[in-house]
Formats: sequence, structure tokens, C-alpha cells
Amino acid sequence: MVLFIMNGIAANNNVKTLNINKKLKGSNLRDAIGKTVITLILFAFSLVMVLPFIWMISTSMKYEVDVFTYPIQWIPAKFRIIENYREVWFGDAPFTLYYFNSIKVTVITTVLSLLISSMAAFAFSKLKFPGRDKIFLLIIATMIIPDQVTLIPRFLYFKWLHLFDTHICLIISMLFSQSNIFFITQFMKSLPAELSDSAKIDGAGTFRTFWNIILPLTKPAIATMAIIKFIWSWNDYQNVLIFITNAKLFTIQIGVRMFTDKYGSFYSLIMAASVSAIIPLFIVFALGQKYIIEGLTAGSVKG
Amino acid sequence: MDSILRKINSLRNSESFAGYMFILPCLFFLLFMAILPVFLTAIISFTNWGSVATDISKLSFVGFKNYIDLFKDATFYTALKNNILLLFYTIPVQLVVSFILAVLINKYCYFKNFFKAIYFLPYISSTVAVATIWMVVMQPSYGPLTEMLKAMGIENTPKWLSDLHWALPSLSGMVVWQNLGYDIVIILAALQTVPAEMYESADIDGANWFVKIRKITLPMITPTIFFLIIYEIMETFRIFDQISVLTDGGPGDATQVLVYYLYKQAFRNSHINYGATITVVLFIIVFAITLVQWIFRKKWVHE
Repeated sequence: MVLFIMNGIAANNNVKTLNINKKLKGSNLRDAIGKTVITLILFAFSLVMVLPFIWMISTSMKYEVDVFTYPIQWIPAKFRIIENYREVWFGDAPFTLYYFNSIKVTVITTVLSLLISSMAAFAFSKLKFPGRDKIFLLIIATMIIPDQVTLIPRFLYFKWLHLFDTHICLIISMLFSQSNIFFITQFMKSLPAELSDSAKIDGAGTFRTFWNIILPLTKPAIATMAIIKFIWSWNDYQNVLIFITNAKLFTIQIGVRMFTDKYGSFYSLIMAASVSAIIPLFIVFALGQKYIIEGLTAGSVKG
Repeated sequence: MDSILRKINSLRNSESFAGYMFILPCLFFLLFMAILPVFLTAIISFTNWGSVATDISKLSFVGFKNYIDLFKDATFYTALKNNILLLFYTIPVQLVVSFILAVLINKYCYFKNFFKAIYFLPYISSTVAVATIWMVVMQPSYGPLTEMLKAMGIENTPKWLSDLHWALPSLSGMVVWQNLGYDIVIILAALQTVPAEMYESADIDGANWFVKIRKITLPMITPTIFFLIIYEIMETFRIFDQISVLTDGGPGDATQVLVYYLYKQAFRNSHINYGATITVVLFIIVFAITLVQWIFRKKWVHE
């Protein structure tokens, strides 16, 4: 008897699942068509985002006379790649030099900034000292001060300290990053307290606890912030414009600007310069896309 | 007992000491790069300090003279007006478009990550290079944008950035294009926090997509939209790179904005005191926006 009832229930259930399956199949097909249509629309719209870049790349490989031919030659009829790029990299406004300067400033800034930020984050998350939380709040509160507000005082410091017109002013200007400190502190707080406590009992010095135990575990957060810092330092233009006047110290962003001023209406060369400035970012973005989007969504803002 | 207490005490003290050591570099930057500059700028705005070369002993306080000059300065009002116009030209379009795109990308399409990346690309690209591309694309007489419009039968194409009336809207178009991806990614992250059950129960009630978006999605992500509005307002008041590369504030003062005007006054015209005065006004605006944000976040955003 019991068995019979159970069978009945099972059969009943089977019918139900069947019905649901049927329904799902119908809506699945409709969903799939809808999804395909919307994917195509999104794809068309995303062309608006990429076409300027594609135009830049294609123009950088053209003869100057072909730049403004219409309809647009997306693939150049005649290529002039090597000559254009040689002009950019070894010409009057040498990008080899600008590149070297940019890499130097960006790498030093990123490494030092991350070191300072993670040291502070370690103290804010794992050590106890009077005034800790107040200082942390103060740091976060100063996030609202725009870079431009500190521009004139920084200019004066650098003049007084005879640092004006050196790469040091660029690095110093970009070292302090509240969002890095915030992000890494939050991450370190999520690490179990036992880790640092047991290290303490072992008699490991505070610095060793930081360097050998906490820092390796914080790698994901540090990598995320490092990529983002790299991008913003690479893109920095305002500081170089104001604090650097010696052409030998120019970075890539100012280089593009100088190049544009110098070559005026040689649009193919100007585009080759832009490609050169943007390519490292595309590479970094392609490699660390997940980290970049994640880090920027987690409240780390530009700067 | 006594010795144990002392030991604990000394351990605590050493931890405090270590804590301060770890945040020392950070504190240094907090003081000299964030807090002190605000006060220095404010002080300078009350002096007659023109060029840096002026001997400090010759400086004197001039009271509110710089502020009185500023409030009589037509260019200052133009810059302020342009900043505010930029808010209205960019933020509504950007939010609406990115909201629609984010909703579509979130649920109704394939290749989600691909679209996320594509739309995000302009945001991480260097503003200088991007501005340079747009400068060529918007070349007034035979640039690709003009040619495309002509091909569509539009005869009186504007002169874009060199047109008195079109310069600011053209600039806004570029800004929206570059920042759209950031808004999309932030809204996407917020959409993922909306519980699926809410949509399911709305489905059972027979709600259509419009009702679902209006009654569930929008209220749930209000805090995010609010954050984006504030963030974009701040970004708009900080706009500088594009203007420096593209228009130099011109034609006339058509694209003059506060930060560019302060840069011109302080560093090109050697009116550091006047630049500082504009900086103070800028800071007050940014500070006021932050205050409004604090008050409103408590009032009408349920978190």
C-alpha cells in the first residue's frame, strides 16, 4: 500500500518535471534568440568604444596623404609602418628616452607606494597603538582633497628643496595613496589574527611578522593595487607638465604632447606616437584585466 | 607577578612603538602632501605673492584683495559656469547609458566579460593619448567624424573643438566616451548584489521587465548610483588633461574650467596668490559636495 502511494507520487512528480522541462525549453529558445539579438546590439555599440583605437592604429601605419581619405581606409592601401615608427622612436622627440623615463618613474613610484601603503596597512590591521583608528579615519577623510589643491604647495616645496625639475618630484607627488592603504588594510583585516599572534609568541620581530608572514598572504591585494598604481602613474600628465621643464626628463605623456606640438599636422606620426603611449596599457590590461576591474570596483578611485 | 606585568607592559609598548614606526612614512605624507598644503594654500591666497622668485621678506598680507578680484573676474565665472555645464552635459547621459548597458550585459547577453573589458578599455587608456586621437578624429574640415556626417547628408558640420558653441559639448562627448566603462563596471557589481529571489517572486506576480527594473533594480542600486553621481561631480571639477591637450581653455574661454584657470594663473602668469585663491574656492566646492553627500546618504539612501 505504502509502496503504491509512493509510486503514485513519483509518477506525479515525473509528470510535473516533464511539464516544467517543456516550459523551460520553450523559454530557453526565446531567451537564446533574445540574448543573441542583444549581444549583437551590444557588439554594435561596443564598436563606438573601439573604433577610435582601431582608427588610431590604422592611421599610424599610413602615408600622410591617405590619412583623411573617405571612405575610411581601415586597412591602409599603402603601408608606411617602419618609417613612421622610426620617426617617433628615434626622431626629434625621441620616444626611447621618454619611455625609459616613464618606466623608471612608474616602477619606482609603484614599488615605493605599495611598500609604504602595506606597512601602514599592517599597522592599522594587526598592531594596537593609541590613536590608531583615528589616524586611519583621518587618512581616509583626506581622500576628498583633490590633487590640484596641493599643486601650489608642492610646487613651492620642490622649489625650496631644489628638487624642481627632477624625477623625484613626480615620484613624491604620487607616493601617498589613501585608496591603496584602505584596500590593503581591509584585506589584511580578513587574515586570521592567530597568524600574527603565533608569530609574536615565537618571538619573531614585528618586522619579520610583516615581511615573512603577512606580506606574502596579502599578495592578491598588493598585485591588484600595483597594477592600478602602475596605470595611473603611467598616465600622469599634470605633474610632469608643471614640475618638469628639462626635455631630457620628459615622460611618455608629455612626449605625446611635445610630439603633437612639433609635428603639427603630421597626423599619421601623431597617431604612431599615441599608439606607442597606449600599447603598454593595453598589454597590462590584457594580462591583469580581472584584477584591474575588481580593484577599481572595490572603491579604489582614479589617482 | 610584577615582572610579568612589566613584561606585558613593555611588550605593549614595543607594539605601540612598532605601530608608529610602520605608519611613519604614511604620516609624513599625510602631513606634508595633504593637510599642510590645504592651510598653505589658504594662507597664500591672502598674500601678494606673485612669482616664486619673489623674496619672502617682501611678501605681505593683503586681506581679501585676491578674493575681491576673483569675484569681479569674468573668466572665473566662465570657468565655473563651464564646470557646471560639463556636469549637465556628461553625468545624466553617462548614467542612463551605462545603466542600460549594465542591465543588458548583466543578464541578457553572451560574452559578458568580453563586453566588460571592451567598454572599460578607454577608461584605463591615457587621457593624453585618447585626447590626441579625438583631436584628429574631430579634425574640423576633413576628419573622419565630419566626413561621416557629410556622407549622411549633414552639410553644416560643426567645427567641433574649434567652434565657440560646440567646443564644450565635443569635450563632453569625449569625457562620456572615456568614463562610460567605469560606470558600467560599478553598476554591474551592484546588480550582482540584488538577490535573485526578488526577481523570481516578481515573476510569480506576473511583473514585466519595466516594473522589475523600476521597483526592484533601481531602488536596490540607489546607493551605487548616488556614489557614481558624487564621484563624477568630483571628477568633472578636476578635469584638466583633456583641456590642456586639446583646447588650452579656448576657443576664447569656451572650455575654460577652474583647474585649468588656476594652472594658468599660478604657473603661466606667475600669480601664485591668485591661483591659490581659485584653489581655495575649488576646495570649498568639493568640500560642500562631500557634506551634501553625507547628509543625503543618511536621508534617502537605504543601505
